[in-house]
Amino acid sequence: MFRCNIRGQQEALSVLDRAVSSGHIAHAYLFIGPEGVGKRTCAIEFAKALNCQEGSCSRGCQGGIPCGQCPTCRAIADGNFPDVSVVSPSGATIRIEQVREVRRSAGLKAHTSGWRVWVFEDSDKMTEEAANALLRTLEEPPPRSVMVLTTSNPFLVLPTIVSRCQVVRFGHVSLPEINAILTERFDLSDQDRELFASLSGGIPAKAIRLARGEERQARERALDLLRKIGTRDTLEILKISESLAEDRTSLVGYLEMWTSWYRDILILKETGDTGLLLNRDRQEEISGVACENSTDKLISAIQILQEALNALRQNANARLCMDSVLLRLDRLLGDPRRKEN
Amino acid sequence: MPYLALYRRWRPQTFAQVVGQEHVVRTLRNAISLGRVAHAYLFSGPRGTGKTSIAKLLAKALNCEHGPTPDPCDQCKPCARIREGYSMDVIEIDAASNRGIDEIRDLRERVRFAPAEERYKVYIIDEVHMLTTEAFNALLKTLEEPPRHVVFVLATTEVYRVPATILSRCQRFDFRRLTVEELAGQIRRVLAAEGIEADDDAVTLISRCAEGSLRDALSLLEQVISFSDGRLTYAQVAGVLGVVGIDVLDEFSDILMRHDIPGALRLIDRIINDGKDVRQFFRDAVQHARDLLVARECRDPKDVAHLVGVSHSRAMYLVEEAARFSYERLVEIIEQLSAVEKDLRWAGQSRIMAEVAMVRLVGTPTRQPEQAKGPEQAKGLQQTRGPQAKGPGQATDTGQVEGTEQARGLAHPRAHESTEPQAPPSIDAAGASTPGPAQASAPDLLQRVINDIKNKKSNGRWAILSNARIVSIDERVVTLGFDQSFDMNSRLIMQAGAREAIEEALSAQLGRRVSLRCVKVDPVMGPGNGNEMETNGEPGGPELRPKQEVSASFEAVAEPPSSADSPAESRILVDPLNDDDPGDNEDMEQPLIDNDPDISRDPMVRQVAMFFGGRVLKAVRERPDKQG
Repeated sequence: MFRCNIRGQQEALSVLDRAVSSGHIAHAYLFIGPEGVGKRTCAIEFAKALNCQEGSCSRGCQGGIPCGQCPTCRAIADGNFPDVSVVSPSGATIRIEQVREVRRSAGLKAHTSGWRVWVFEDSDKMTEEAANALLRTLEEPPPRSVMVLTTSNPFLVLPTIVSRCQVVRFGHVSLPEINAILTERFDLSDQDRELFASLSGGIPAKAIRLARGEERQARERALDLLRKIGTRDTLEILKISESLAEDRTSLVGYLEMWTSWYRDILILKETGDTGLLLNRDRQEEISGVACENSTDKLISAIQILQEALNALRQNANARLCMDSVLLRLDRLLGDPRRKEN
Repeated sequence: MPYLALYRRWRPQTFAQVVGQEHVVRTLRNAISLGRVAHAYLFSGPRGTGKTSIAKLLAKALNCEHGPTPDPCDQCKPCARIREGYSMDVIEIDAASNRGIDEIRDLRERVRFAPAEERYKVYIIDEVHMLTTEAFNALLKTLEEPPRHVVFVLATTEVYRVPATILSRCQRFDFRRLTVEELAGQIRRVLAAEGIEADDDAVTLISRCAEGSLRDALSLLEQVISFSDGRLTYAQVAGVLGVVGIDVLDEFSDILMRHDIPGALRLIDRIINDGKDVRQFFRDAVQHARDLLVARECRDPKDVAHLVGVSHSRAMYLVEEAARFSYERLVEIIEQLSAVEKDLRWAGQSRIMAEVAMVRLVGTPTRQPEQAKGPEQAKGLQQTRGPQAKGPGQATDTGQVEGTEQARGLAHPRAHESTEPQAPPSIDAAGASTPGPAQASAPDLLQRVINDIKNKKSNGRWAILSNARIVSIDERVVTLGFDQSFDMNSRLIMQAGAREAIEEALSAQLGRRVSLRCVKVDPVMGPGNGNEMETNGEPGGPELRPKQEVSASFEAVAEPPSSADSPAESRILVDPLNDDDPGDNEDMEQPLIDNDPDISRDPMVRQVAMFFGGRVLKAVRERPDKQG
């Protein structure tokens, strides 16, 4: 039996449950799913289940429901357990040295009598050399050991790696489920809860961040700034860009929120269905703006934002990037008549 | 014994168990029985096609107690040692982690020693493409003349990264992807051995998802088995593999047919709520569109069933469905879908990108209506998306647009008020001021000219022409517009030789002597559309105004185009250099008026005239509806 308190991933959990129950533990798993749905947590829980001393299992393997209390469980949770290690990107990538280290330790005897588990976080971030170096170990690891690779971007993982792993899919969490998570953890008004749930896009971690109020302020500001776009007030726009570009990490958040805004306008325009909106609290404003812009303009706006996100991902200069995004959006969506006035 | 993954358990242990790759197996077996085993082999091919497995089989065949034999017994000690992977003389090297020159030097040292327990030392170098250049070079000498007791087998998925000097020293075998039938056959064997029942379409789906790789097929199968009890069904397999089911794909093609944007968006919503990956959906959709294309072109359900790898009844359905699409539409769908699929790999907000892509794909039947091939398609356009399909004359008729929108019952009737940028671009709108029968077929004309030049292999620079579009066709002048690299393009087109060739082709097509000129136009929007884009029919702001005046003012100083036999250089209408001069540009914004006597007194015109030593013959106003 394998159980853990990750919500809304019944399918993934049942695959692991079957593996543990039947004792058919594959030598390598690839957890695929969007960021923030619990892949890493699940991998750690899985490691606990395989090693937990208090669990029970019908077939010789010592796994079961991780109790979370015994020394083993606690050591694994704290990252102190010698046979469970997490490999995460050092800097931007997982390097070949890190993989070599895993290979070396895989050649040694296990410290305990349980299972050895290596968890590779963001395994799409392995360098090509690292990924190739892992192939052999991944295919034929020592007995009683498991590699768990997690990724939110399966299409960037080397296909030769994917084909050696058993894929476990994690999906977006459904709205009711997220609502349930929020109800459980926070004391929110119904309205807030529904809004956070829809803004989270099916990602519990994001819903929780929203509920904690971490992203709320940023969102208000982002949407306020949007009103300035289209005024053709170049100076003002450059000032905004300057203030935003100071904090590179939050830039992505702004761009994503703007994208979701224009997406909402586009969706409402094309379907007239408010149920599909993400920014539900601003429904009226959205339907107001929907009339003002053409489908093509909205699509172009979203493309501009996506280009900027790509550029930022490739380490573009934040300030120049924002200048260009804001000015282009301003031109695109601005009313030329206003300039004359 | 610990649990082994299916693909490890089912690794072939004799040549007879190998699935597919007959060409490799037969050659190797013959080589062994004739005693002509080469000293170095290179196995290349996609993942999961049997490279490493056959390399191990070769090692067994050479070292089996019953002599080098094409049929290793798999019973004797050497065979068992090799099978279990602890033979001292069958050395598997993972070139990905031992990729440096030092490791290869080490290998060179050891190659010389005689085998410890077997007949041959077999070096299996996996992922050999990962070796560094130095390592490859260090290997060359050994690879060419290894000791008699050594056989090298290099295996790689990326043979193009292996240097030619290595390739030429090896016997190369290219492993093929397995066919869907071969994969399905093996899956059935495995299922029978494991005592699991499965529906045929479930097996086919797994085989199709494996993309020709047996390892993938067995990995997927294992995934499915570990998820379900009892009989494997299509729905289960689709669910586990995250593949979008046939029903969703059929719905998708229906949506495409009806240009049903709300339906498409709800489909995306549903896919995401089902916990599926939209990226996977787009992958499957590309495949589906390809299947439809195959079905459309083949027509015979038997062929289709074979080529697509589906049952006969499904093939009949596909053929029927495909007949509803035009060939062009299907190709366009495939192109757009693949582009989206590529973009989505990198997109953080895959949902939003998917939705935008859907709106574009489903909403606009043909982005470039000038490429529409037949009246049938044009009719489809008109029925589904009123505003985009309208002819040039109606392009600014917003009233009618509203009507169409209301007819569609959308929440926001004014929504499409300013969608005219999608209307048939450039040519016709600009041509409105220069009436003539030729303009309706302007893009065709350009295409015919390009083909003509291509066929004659004349000096017409058709590659550049294909970036151009015809802005207007006058009695004696054809104007080409470039929206990118205007300077370079116009210079190349206007060069002696190229220009004559193009003019000749144009004249031949039009049946009258014409000359050529080039203008710069705004990107994406044609000159006419820039206008509508701004404020629904009102005259646009200066920055979007077409820069046709550039040409007009230069024409003023040029010789009459009819004097065709004068040297080309003196007839060049546009000097691209001047285009860079900001002063010029400002001036050009002022429209020039027919036979305006003041035109020759204009300071800029005078300057230009002086520069070229010309005089004003004629001034043309391009768009009479503008202010001025």
